Amino acid sequence: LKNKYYFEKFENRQPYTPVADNKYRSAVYQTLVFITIALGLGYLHWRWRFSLNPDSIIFSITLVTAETLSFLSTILIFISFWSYKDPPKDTPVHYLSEIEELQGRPDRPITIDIFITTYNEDIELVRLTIADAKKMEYPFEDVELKIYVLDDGRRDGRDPQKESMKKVTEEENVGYIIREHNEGYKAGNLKNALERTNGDLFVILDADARPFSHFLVNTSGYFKNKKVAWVQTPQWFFDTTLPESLGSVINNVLKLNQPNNLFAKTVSRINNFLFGKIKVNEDIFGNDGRLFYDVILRKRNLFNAAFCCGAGSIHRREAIMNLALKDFAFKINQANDEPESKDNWLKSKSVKKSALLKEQVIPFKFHASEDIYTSLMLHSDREHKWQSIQHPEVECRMLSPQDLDTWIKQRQRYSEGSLDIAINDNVIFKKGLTIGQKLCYSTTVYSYFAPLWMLVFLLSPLYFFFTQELPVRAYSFEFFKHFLPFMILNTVTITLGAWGINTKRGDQYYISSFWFMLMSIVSILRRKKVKFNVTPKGRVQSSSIRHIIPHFIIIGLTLVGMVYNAILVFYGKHLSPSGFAANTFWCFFNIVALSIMIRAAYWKPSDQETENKL
Amino acid sequence: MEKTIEDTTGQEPALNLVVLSEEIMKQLETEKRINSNVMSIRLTQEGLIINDQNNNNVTESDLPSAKDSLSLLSGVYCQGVQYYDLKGVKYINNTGMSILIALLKSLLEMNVEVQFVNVDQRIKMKIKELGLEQIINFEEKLSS
Repeated sequence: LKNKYYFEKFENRQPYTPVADNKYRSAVYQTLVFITIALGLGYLHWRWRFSLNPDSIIFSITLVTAETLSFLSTILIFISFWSYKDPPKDTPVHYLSEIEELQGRPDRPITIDIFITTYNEDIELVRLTIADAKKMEYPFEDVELKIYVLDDGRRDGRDPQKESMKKVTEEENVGYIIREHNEGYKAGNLKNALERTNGDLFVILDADARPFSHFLVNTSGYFKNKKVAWVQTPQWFFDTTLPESLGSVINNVLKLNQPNNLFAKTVSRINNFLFGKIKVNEDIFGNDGRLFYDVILRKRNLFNAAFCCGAGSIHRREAIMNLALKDFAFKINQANDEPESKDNWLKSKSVKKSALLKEQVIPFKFHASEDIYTSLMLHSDREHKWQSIQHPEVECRMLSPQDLDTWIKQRQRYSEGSLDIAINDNVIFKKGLTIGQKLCYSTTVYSYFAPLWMLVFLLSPLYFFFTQELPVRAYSFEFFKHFLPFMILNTVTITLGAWGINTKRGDQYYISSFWFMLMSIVSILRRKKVKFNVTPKGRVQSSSIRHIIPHFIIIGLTLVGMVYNAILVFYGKHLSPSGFAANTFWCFFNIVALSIMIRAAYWKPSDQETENKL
Repeated sequence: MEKTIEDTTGQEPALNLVVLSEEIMKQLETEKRINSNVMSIRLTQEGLIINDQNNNNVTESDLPSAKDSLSLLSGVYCQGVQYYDLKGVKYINNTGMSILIALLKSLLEMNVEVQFVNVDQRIKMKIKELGLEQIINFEEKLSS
């Protein structure tokens, strides 16, 4: 490290320890799931049958529909949080016969390739990854570990404007593979590498995914189960923002850090005295992936439905190539089965030839969400019934997006990619998947439809504030009798399901992401091609304000509505003071959730020392 | 019309005494084209390994170790079909299969069909399991 990067100060951070499974906790959780679902059904039954306001029927039905859709999402989450089932660990693989049937071949030590994919990342950043990859240990000396940098930026020295990635690989004595185009983006880059290498297992690392030395020791053993196609390890972002004192944040915003200005100095001291102990902005971008990797994906081991997330994964080459070949054969045979080619032998031959020339053997699907899509295809392979594993322990560290614009682009790609799969290859009807797998994939896809009901939840109080029309007959004891037990138990159950993980940021971003996720739905419905945006590694200067305009509008209108309604209540002219109270309470949560993205958009590193680093 | 094969190095003609028919000449030219354009493939004990000579960015040391290789997969061209003998090959892994497809595609671009001969029963089974039997053509024996 050369005092060049902002993340140097996090180098000594230690990864989290996975949540320990507890069968009693699981039993309580599972019992609560049944009770919560029963209460939820009871609440919704009451809502649909008895609570709709006939004077505002469209508003009533819109809200109760949103609640029903949200409840369906809750049920899917409950099921996918059902229980931990970590697959048994095994010692590292030595010989090929431990992971494959030899079928007459002589046995030999396995070979492992380590692929570091890069496009435009700083070459010294990639060097850090290479250096850590070289430190990877393996207990058997005759097992060959080969590291390759897959450079889709073609930085082989041909362009004097670009720093030479090839030179770095020569200095580090690792392989360097490039291609002359960027077809298929990262998936295409991997395809190119797989055509040129032959490791029995291969590891995928992004340019910033720095493995720990025990990565292979801890993961290769899973492949002794000959059904295991890939193992995903948690993507641990070790550079999430540190908590800051609210006092110093206010001082920064008000530019009070002026030692020569007595007034500013005094106000700054008062701020520090009043707010100095309140900590804010910890993981301001919600990048901590623990809820996702340690709960959501890890619990999918129970259903053999943990999907691959790319970086930090290790794969069985034969599995992915098998899928690629079968898919290739399917496309050619499909073209051959066209009615016009069936009737005419000559035509058939030409159809087959053109299909053969057109189609390619593609290991990872050329798709914006290539990882999840390829996982889906492998899971649905009826012949092999491939298994996936979400490994609990952190085996590599990665960098997270450091500005909201980058963060949103990355999430938008995930969201559009998943929605695209939902539309073009519906998981519910996909043959070969088990019911558990269908449920888990549906949960993922369905979660991207959340803005549809989230928007209703955000706009409903506004509608009430400016029309005084209620979506229920009354915010009476009857309403709270049905609503509160369900809501409270729902929170308790989710907390228990995600035990040990702080879900606060995740909850805030779930609501706050409504706008760009809504745009993703619109984009997919308009059949726009999903873009593959390479997530910049390190700090970039970009404008994030456009992403939070809807947030400002909703918060602004909410505040205006609250003041307007407060005045009406004050003068005794409000038609439903209880509705005002309930909606104000509701809006408080909305504003807190929406504000996180606004804070993230304006966030800048407070640490002057690291502000200008990459 | 008859042609003679000449040494292209500019030195004394090497084979100018041999006179060949147009058909044989055409065949030799196609073979030359195949050999100069198509990747060379090495047979190993566990499958097939690519050696893409056109790619200068992967050095020989990056490629699968040469020590495993048994022999180069050599083909014979005859009347629009390139025949490859897989005698002695007991197993082809999935990467090997994809290499065969790449070979097949590159020859198809030159309007040359590919036929594999002496294919082991297990390999035939695998080709069928993958659904490639309409794509990878194989025959029991190389016809005379």
